[in-house]
Amino acid sequence: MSYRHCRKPILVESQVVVGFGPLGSRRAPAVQILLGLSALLVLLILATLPARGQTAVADPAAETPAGLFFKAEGPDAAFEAPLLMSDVKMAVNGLTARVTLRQHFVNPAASWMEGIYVFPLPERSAVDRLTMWIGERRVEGRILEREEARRTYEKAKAEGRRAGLLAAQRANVFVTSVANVGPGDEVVIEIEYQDRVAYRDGRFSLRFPMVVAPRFTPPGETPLAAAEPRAQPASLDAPDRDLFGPVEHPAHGPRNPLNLTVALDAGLPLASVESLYHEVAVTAPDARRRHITLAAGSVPADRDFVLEWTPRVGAAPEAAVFGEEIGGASYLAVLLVPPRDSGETAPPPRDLIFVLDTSGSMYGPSLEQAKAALVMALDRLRPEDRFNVIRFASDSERLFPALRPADPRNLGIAVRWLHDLEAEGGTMMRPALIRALAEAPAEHRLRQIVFLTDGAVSNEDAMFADIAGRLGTARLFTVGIGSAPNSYFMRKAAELGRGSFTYIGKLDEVGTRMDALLRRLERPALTDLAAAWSLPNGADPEVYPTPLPDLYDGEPVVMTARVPTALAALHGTFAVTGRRAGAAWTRRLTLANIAPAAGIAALWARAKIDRIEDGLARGEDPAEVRSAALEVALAHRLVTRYTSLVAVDDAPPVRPRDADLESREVPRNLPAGWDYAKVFGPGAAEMKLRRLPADLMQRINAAGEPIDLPQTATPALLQALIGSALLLFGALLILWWRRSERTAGHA
Amino acid sequence: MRSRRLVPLLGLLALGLGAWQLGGAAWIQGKAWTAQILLDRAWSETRGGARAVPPWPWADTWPVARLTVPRLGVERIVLAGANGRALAFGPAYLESSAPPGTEGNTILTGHRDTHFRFLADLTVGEIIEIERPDGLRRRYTVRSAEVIDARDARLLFVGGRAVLSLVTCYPFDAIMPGGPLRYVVTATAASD
Repeated sequence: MSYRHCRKPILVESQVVVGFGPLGSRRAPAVQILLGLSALLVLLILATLPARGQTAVADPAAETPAGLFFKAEGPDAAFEAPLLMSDVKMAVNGLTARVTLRQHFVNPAASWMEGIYVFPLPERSAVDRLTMWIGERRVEGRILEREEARRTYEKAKAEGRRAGLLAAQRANVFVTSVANVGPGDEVVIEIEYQDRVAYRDGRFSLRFPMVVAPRFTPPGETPLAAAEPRAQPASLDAPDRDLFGPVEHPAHGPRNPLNLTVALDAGLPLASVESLYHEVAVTAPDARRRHITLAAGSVPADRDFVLEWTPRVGAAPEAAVFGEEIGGASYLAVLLVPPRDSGETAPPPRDLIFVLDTSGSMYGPSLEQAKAALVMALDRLRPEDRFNVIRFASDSERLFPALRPADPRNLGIAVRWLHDLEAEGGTMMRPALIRALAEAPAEHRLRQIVFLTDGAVSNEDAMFADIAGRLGTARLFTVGIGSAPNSYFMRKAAELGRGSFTYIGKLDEVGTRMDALLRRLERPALTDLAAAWSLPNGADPEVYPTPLPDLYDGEPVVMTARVPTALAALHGTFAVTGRRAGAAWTRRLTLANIAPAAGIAALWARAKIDRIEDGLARGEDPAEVRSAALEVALAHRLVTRYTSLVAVDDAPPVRPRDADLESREVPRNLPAGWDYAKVFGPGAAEMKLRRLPADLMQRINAAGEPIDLPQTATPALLQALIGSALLLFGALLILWWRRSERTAGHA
Repeated sequence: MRSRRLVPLLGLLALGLGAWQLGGAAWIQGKAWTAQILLDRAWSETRGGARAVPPWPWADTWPVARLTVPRLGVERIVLAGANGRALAFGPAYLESSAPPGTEGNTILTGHRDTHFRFLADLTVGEIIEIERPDGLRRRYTVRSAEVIDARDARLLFVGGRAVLSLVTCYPFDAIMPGGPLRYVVTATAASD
């Protein structure tokens, strides 16, 4: 910061000093150089002055400010965003979860308001329901093509009717808009989605993201599926927002409180239940059920909630089939756990390329976690392996010009290099990714790319296309770092990269998470997976994902299928086959007494849309992808990049004709552990005014007395600098004069 | 050859001007810190019961409070009257605001390059103590810090709570004095 304010005086100083230079220009170049050096010295002194007082700080418990207030210039600058409270209820049933998210929008202002809130949902969630609550009255949402839904909403908004719109910005980023919330009124938007429980390494887990981390948009690159076009609402200063909207400075305290409860029915006796990042209270009605609540009651929406549970020894599932019948068709969800590799066969020599994100969003705990993870990975390399490290921020840099053997000397160089890395700057991830994918793979060596990042970028689609197009025989593994990683990027990059992904949310997880990941890297994958069905009438089910992905150590076969037969009439068998380290593996299952479970059809449809949308990364015609995805999304009422849910109140318009509607975005929190200045630049928050409640603002304008704050800076520093420069200049001048006098005397 | 004679004169002139400027800078800093030593004595007398003790015979200001930040080892004698003369010797109390250590909003201002330089190092939750002339001490907790434009400042008395606003010029390292920006640290009294 100090630079910006120093710049002008520096120029003045240097002109004073350098301006006298030509005096000695003919006879004594040495003195001229000295004069130049003295000017440089002054510049250096100025440049090295410590930057102080950059970080604005604040207390979460700060109350309404009292006493000294600062009136904003325009009438709009001091405003209030709608208050938002979220209430999350998760019902887990075996391998599926039904989640209800209620967003309470409260308008604290004296004017009519439109509230806009950008929030995340799990990247594989099938969002299929929107209900708007006005007090006790409910308005059910309809699924419409995205543009049509927006027009429907805009029309209702203009007419003064209450309306709610839920649109997707990304597979894991959604935006709620709610129109015509009266002064002091509350409108509740209720969103429901279906999610699937992950099972890996003998643990079940469910992730609920709470905040969309600020995203970096590389200059010159338009993020595909850009943010919803909308009238620019009166908002905060430009620097403290990303493409999704404003981000609250921590100095104004955390906002958007969230309450969460989980009703867990694991379907098998439980050994442990653990919440990774939130304190929870757990009650156990019986061996397979748990009721989980947040110990703090409500928490600021600033980090992911992750629940993990493990079955009792011997109760771990080997295979499970769940089913749901809709419209005469059966939808199946299959989980199949292949036997684990013994780990005795040594893997072939490998070439590992680690790509490390050192952008500003990684500053602090995130970078520490990533470094620790990388050091651990380096430690596990064998001498016959080769490796390289690429780091990226605003630029990218390679540790070695080419792959080097993992011998102690090279590893030592790598660890020392890593140690000195700091997080700063933009997230130019794509060039680094392309660099990692570009290296030609060697014969008979496994090429593995390990990508450590928080994924805080907005050009995901461009990178997915890079991965799909350039992967070759390499395999890409992602490691999601920090409190709110971009899970859509982590999963999709790993899927298209035919690798696997993992998350590290705190430093003490590095050990276990990296150990599991490294085992996946070291042990042979289960490849060429295929399912063969023998069903009555030769029916052929529609299975997703297709083809089945390669599986790494600890990963189960997970697939969803649609069979055009009623569930009760469904019988037959199917076999899953695959190969590992040259050996064939087969597992045959009989379809009988399928456990019913709601929501599988939605998960199947979501998996199908995923498959269709992957076509974008593979270079298929976007118009065809769109129409194929649209058909499935409309049939299954799912919110996608092509469809939105909209709810319009049929009651007569509520907003008086003469009352204006103000559009307000609800700022998001900064994810826990992030540094504001590192993301938005040191100056971003400095000039932001404290936003005050409207009534207080009125009182200040009416009764507040202008106050004269005195000047509180002395010219001491200025005088010291001018003084030093003059002394130096005088001394040099005399020195030069004496020398030239002597030369003249000799002559 | 005549112009050559001027060179040493010019050099000496530059030396003289340089010394004068440096001296000026040293004088500002020296005055600021030696005054605090003298003020300490005046504060002891003020606390002893005498009111409005001028620190030196010709002074037109007097100590009204002592401000300490235990963690930073900061101790400052606060002077009456936020004018340029008083500010040269110590942080000053803005007389249109509530008296230090009482209910209402107390505003103290100080030079960013001398007495209030430490504002840059304050963090949220930091404890600030104000000692009043009657010996009563009040503890404040830092709630927020922000940069504002002094031209937009408004004072509104919201009764009931003791609030301390410490104000200095911003940015801290600007070379040119003046400018409209202020750094404001707001602290509220602990409810004891």
